[in-house]
Amino acid sequence: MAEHNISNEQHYFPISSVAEILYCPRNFYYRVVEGAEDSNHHLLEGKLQEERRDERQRLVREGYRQDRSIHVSSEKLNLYGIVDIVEQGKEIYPVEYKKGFRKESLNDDVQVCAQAMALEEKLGQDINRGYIYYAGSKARREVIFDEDLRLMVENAVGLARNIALSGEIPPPLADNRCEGCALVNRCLPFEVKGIKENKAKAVRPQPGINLGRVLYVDEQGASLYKKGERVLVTKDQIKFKDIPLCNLDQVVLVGNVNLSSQLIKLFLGRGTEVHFISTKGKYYGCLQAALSKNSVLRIAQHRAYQKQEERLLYASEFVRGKLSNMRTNLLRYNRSLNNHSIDEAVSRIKNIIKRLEKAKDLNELMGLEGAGSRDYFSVFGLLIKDRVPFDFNKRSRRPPEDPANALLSFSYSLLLKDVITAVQVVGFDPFIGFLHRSDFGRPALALDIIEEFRPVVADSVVLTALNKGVIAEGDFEYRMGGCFLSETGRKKMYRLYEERRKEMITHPVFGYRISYLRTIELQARFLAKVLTKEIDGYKPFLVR
Amino acid sequence: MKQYIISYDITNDKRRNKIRKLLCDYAVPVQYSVFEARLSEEDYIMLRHKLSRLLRKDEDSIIFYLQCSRCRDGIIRLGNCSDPFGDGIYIV
Ligand code: SF4
Repeated sequence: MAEHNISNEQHYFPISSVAEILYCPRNFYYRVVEGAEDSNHHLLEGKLQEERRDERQRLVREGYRQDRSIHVSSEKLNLYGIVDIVEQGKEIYPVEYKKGFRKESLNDDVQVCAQAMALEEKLGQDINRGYIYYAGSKARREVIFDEDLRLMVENAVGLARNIALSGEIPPPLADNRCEGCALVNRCLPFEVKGIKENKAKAVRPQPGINLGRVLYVDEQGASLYKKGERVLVTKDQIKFKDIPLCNLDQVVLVGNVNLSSQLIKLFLGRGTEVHFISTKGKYYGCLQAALSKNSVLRIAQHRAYQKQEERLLYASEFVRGKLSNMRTNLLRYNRSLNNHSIDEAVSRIKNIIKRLEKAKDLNELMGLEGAGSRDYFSVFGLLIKDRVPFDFNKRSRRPPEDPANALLSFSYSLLLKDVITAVQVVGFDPFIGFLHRSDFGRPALALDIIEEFRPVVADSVVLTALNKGVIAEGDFEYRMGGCFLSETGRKKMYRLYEERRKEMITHPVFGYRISYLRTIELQARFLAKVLTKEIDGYKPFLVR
Repeated sequence: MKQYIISYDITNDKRRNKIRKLLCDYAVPVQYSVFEARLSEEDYIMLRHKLSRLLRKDEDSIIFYLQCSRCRDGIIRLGNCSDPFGDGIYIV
């Protein structure tokens, strides 16, 4: 019993979140248990006070005094919150401000009632009614705090406590109520429901937040400044670009490019992704705002990492994804080539995939992955059309020895930035991976997830670049025993890569149209749901 | 992400300049006193808020025309005007 009290004490809930529980318990879970950001809406509403004050002026009643933004808390209910307005005259009552039009809404009623109950506790005085003011219709609606409504508040608090204590995620609503939900991208209600009921396909896609609008700056010595709410790219008094920040999702800075600290703050505040890459294509890192609050996920990730069996399971799925997609790539190209060596490589890879399940440890798995990759790259050169004067015999790295390898390495770095972003957006610890070793300070989890996307996104960019003749011999430089892309070559690759990641495909499981960019994020989200035990078994993204 | 056409009619020169400048932070000028914008809910609220502070309600007017995806597909551009958002890939 004592223990129970302690746990209860720890859980003070925001009044608004408890009211939302009636709308969707899962939403409450995300906000309170996983600490999902409330988007920026609430912060903004505060800033919008001015607009609101205008509206409210007309509301002040004869003989009533108004106090605004009153903090209240209730020890009985374990609630805290802010009451928009408390009006005091003959009576005292709370007024809650809502943006939209006047409507009957139980959530809203429960919310003001909870506010009133907290106020009662604070003032030691009964409050029988309150109001909800709807800015859209400039009208207020009276809410009577009767027994039924008070009971509803108590039940909502009970439900909240259960969810918080059990830590179990409530099932998704997956109906039209999800349409306007700010958490829909994290929640994936239709997809989760589909997976759970084993009838994928009938799922509606949700629009992604990231539209893949990107600025690459590979002009050595250029500087980026903030001007108003825009990004300015300049060098030697020449203005290269002037783009509103709201038209950018990602910024990639290559080599020696300067970034003003004002702009850094703005990027962090907006959540604009910023990545740093060297001119040789080495991925340096990214700007990252404070660690996400999703500690539930990180704990699950670390737990899975500790369990050899579970770790092996995920690792083998990543390898399966990679090898299957490599095989598909070969099959696709060989439809027109009809090359016997490619056929052989395809069947060898197929056999290796069959053996993945039986791998007893990570070493064995890595061995199989290595063998499969070698088979793939042994024929990769055959996919490059004859007229391209490039030799390609085997994969070489650090440094890449020939143009095809230079392109592959560069392409992987570009892909890595997007996988790292996905991993961070979801709230993972990027450094704890399952297949890749986590002890070299490498973003091991991103390197895990990248595997299944290498063949479909990065390799195909390289093949397009070469086979369409976009990249030519003049686009390479030989330095220090290695082969690297020149500036013009790099700029061509940025475009090719970005076009590829925006390409729409039919999702192999859900059957809807979606960009590669979004599939990367989806995979990271699914992995999160598997780790937190909401759905079973990670399935790699397999193209057909 | 929603797309808008924004047009304005501001009587006072000084105010008009300020409002133009503000609009340039969030939208792309496509014609004299006409902008196109693609905004998240937050940016939209922010822009509206900032505009309402500059606007003189008795003299000026600003109109946001929200465009659904079908409206967007129906846009016809003649002459010297390209899609202000292009493919969203900027390379310097
Ligand atoms: S998307 Fe739907 S199920 Fe998920 S949190 Fe929002 S309302 Fe609830």
